[in-house]
Amino acid sequence: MLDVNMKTRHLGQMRDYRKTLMTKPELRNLFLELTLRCNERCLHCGSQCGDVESEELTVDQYRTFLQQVKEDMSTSGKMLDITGGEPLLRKEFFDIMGVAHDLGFSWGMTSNATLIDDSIARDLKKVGMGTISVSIDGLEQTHDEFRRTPGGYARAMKGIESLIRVGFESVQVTTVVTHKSIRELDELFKIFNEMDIDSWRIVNMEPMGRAKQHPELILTKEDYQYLFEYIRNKRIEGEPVTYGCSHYLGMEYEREVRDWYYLCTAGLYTASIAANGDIMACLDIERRPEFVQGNILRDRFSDVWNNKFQIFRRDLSDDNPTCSKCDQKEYCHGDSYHSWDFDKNEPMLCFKDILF
Amino acid sequence: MKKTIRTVLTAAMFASANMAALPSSAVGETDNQANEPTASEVLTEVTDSRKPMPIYGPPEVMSTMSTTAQETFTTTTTTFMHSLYGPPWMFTTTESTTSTEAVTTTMPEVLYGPPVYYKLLGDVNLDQQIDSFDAIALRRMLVTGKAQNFASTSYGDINRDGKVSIADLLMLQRYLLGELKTLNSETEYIAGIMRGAPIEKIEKTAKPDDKITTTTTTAYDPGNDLIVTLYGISPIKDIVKDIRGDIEAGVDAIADSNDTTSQEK
Repeated sequence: MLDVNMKTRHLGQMRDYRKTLMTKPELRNLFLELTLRCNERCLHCGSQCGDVESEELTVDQYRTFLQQVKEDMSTSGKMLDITGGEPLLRKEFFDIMGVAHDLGFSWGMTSNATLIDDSIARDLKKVGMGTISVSIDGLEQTHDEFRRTPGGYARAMKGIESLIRVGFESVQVTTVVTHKSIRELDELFKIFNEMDIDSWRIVNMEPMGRAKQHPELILTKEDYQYLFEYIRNKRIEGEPVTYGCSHYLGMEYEREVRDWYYLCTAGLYTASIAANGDIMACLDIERRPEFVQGNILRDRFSDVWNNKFQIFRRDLSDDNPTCSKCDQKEYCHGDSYHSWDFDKNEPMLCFKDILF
Repeated sequence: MKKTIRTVLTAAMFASANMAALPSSAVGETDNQANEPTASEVLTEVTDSRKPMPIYGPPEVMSTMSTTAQETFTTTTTTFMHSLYGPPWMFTTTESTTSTEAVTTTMPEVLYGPPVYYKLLGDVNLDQQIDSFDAIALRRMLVTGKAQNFASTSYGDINRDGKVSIADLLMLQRYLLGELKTLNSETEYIAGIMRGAPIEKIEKTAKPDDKITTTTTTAYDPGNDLIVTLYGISPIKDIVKDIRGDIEAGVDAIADSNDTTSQEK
C-alpha cells in the first residue's frame, strides 16, 4: 500500500478542492447525449435507452447551444463527451460533431463500436475525435449474452481494430464486470494486452437502471475484493489498467487502482445535456424532475450553470444519519451522486465494510 | 496495451513508495495500527476463512539443549584522595570477585512437520497466492515483530537464510514488480521442513534533532496538478513529485495529450 500519510494529505486537498468547487464551479466535462436509441440491449446498462422513441435535437439546435457555450465560457479546458444510446445511430452525427470541431471544442465519445469500420473511423478523425471508449464486457459469449446482441463482440473488436488502424492513439476499452464475468479478467487482459489500446478501464456493475432486475449479476463482497486487488496488481506491474471514477474506496485502494482520488464531479465540473435538451449534472443520475436544471431550448446554459445546480453542490451524506457520522465522510461525502437512493436517502453502494 | 510514461510512472510510484516507506512505516505504523485492523488484515481474514491453509497442526517438537555463557566482570576501583588539611594522603580501594555463570536454556527444535513448498515461498498471508497482500503482511511482520502464525514465518523466509528480514521483503517486492521471474527453485519441490523462522524486526530509527522550520503555505490549486480525463483526474505532476524522478520533459508531453472517455455504453 502507498504511504497513508500521503493519501491522507491528498484526500484532504481533494476535500478542500471540492468545497471550493461548490462555491466556484468550473465546467470541464460537458456530456452530450445525442440519442437514447441503441442497437444493443445491455442487461447492465445504467441508462433506460434502447429500442425507444427518442427526442433528439437538430444540428442547428446543437450549433446554437455550442456557440453560446463558447461565447459565455470559452472552449478552453473543456471537453465534450459524446454519449447515448449509441451516438453513431444519429444520421446527423458527423454534422453535429463537425460543428463542435469547427467551433474549437475537444471531444471524445463512448460507443459500442459495432458500427465502426475503416470508413467511419476515418470520418471520426476528420471531425476531430480525440478519444474513444469502447465497451467489451467479457469474453465473446459473455459479452454477447450481456448485451443481448449476437455477434456484438466480433463487431466491436473489428471496430477497435479499425480505430487503431486509422491512427487513433487514445482508444480505451471499458469493461463492466458482473458476478458472472469477473473471473474472465485474466483472459480479457491477455486479449487486450495484444492490442494497441491506450488503457483498460474496469468498472463494476452498478445496482441501478436495468441492473436492479438482475441481482444475480451484482458483485459480491469477495468479488469486489478480487476486483480491486486485481487492478492494483496490474498497475504495480505497470499495466494501463484502471478502475472507473466512481465511489470512494477507502485508504487501502484510493489512488492505487486509478490515477487519482475519488471525487464526484457532478455539478461541480461536469454537466450534461440529455437527448431532449434537458440540462443535468450527470447522465447516470436518476432522472427525476428535480434534477433537471433547465433546457437548452429555452435557457442559456451558462446562466443555468452559474445560478442553479445547487442541489448537486452539497454533501449527500448530510441526509443520512449513518453517513453523517461516518469517519470517512470528509472524503466520501455520500459517495457518487448517481448511486444515491433518493427514496431511502442512502447510498446504493458503499464500500465501507467491504474494502475498509 | 500501450506502455506509456503514465503507466511507467504509476509502477515507479508503487515501487518507490514500497521501498521508501519501509523505515518511516516502521516508525509510524506500530502506534496507528496496533489497535485497528487494516483493510488488508480484514481481507486476509476473509481470504483465510475461504481458503484455509492446509497445515495439519503445529509440528511435533523435541527439546534440545543450548548453552549460553554469561560472564560477570570484576570491577576494581581505586580512589586516591588528596586532603588539604588532614592527613597528607589517603586512598580507598574497592575490590570485587570475578565469576562465570553458565545459563542453560531449552529451545524447541522442530524435527518433523509439514513441508515448506517452494512454489508457495512468499505466501506470507497463507492464501495460496503470492501477491501484494503478502508484501503488506510481510512488511507488517517486520515492523511489529509478530507473525500471523508459525507457517507465516516459514513462508516469509523467502531467501531461506533462516530468518525473516528486510532482505526477504525486498526480494518479494522485486518479484511482484516483475524484476524477479520466480521465487521458486527451478529443480526442487520442497524447500524443507516447516521450522518457522525468527523475525528480524525493523527497529525504529532515531529522529533527527528537532529544528525550527519556517514554512510558507499557499492555497492549494489542483488546477496546477491535475489533468482532467473523462474517467477522473490524473495526477501526472503529482506522481512526478512523489517519485522525484528526472522526467519533467516526459510529463509535459503527457500533460498535453488527451485522455479517454468515460461512461459505459
